[in-house]
Amino acid sequence: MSTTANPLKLQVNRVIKVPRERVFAAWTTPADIIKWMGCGNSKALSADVDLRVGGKYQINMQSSDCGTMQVSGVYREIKSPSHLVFTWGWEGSEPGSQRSETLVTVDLIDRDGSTEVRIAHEGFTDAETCDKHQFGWNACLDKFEKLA
Amino acid sequence: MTFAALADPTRRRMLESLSHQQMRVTDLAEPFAMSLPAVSKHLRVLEKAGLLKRRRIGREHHLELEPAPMKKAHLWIEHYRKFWEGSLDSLADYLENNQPKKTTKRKKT
Repeated sequence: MSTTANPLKLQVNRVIKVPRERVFAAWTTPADIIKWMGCGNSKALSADVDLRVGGKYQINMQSSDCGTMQVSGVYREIKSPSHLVFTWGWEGSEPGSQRSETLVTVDLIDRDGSTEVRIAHEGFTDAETCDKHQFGWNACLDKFEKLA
Repeated sequence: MTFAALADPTRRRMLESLSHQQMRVTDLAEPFAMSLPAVSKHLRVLEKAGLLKRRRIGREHHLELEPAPMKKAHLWIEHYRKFWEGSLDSLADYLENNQPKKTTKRKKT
């Protein structure tokens, strides 16, 4: 029943062996964000965070194939240290390029002092699939292929 | 257009039916509690998105799944999966290897 299930929502889980407070801080502190966000050749260079509901964040990312791009959005729900919801959209480098927004929900569940991180990403639109948004994806795929 | 077409659960069920076999419009419509015009409306959206092909055999319309756009949509979501999996790898690596000796509880946000 693969087509009946919602194909437009992505979920990724992972247990990290540190308490939730630390993980929550890592998601919401610029100095932390630039240490981990991105994969392969795509890396966060700098980040701005206005951590309040309705507040904006912006992350500048760089990839070897696409140069610099920004991802930004607005915090919708903030419940430290367990729950974070924010919109997510790439800003194209060309002025006036179409911006589309998706929604990311992060849940942090306490597992005996460790933290299960659950990311749900949804609301994908077709505007997002244009080539200029292929930012860093190849780098991600390359990395995983090497591991395989 | 693929994502918009796939966003509707009825349309996803229609594609699911067509993933097993080609069907006539009337057969496809049968399990759905809706009028034939309503079914046709959904089919037009799917057709416009390139998700199905229609062939006319005599007076009957046969519907067939066109898998390419759906594969593209899935691939797109796969890219995001890799992005988040890769990021979570880095996050685990960063946090697990950079723990302060004492407690991490008094971390300000």
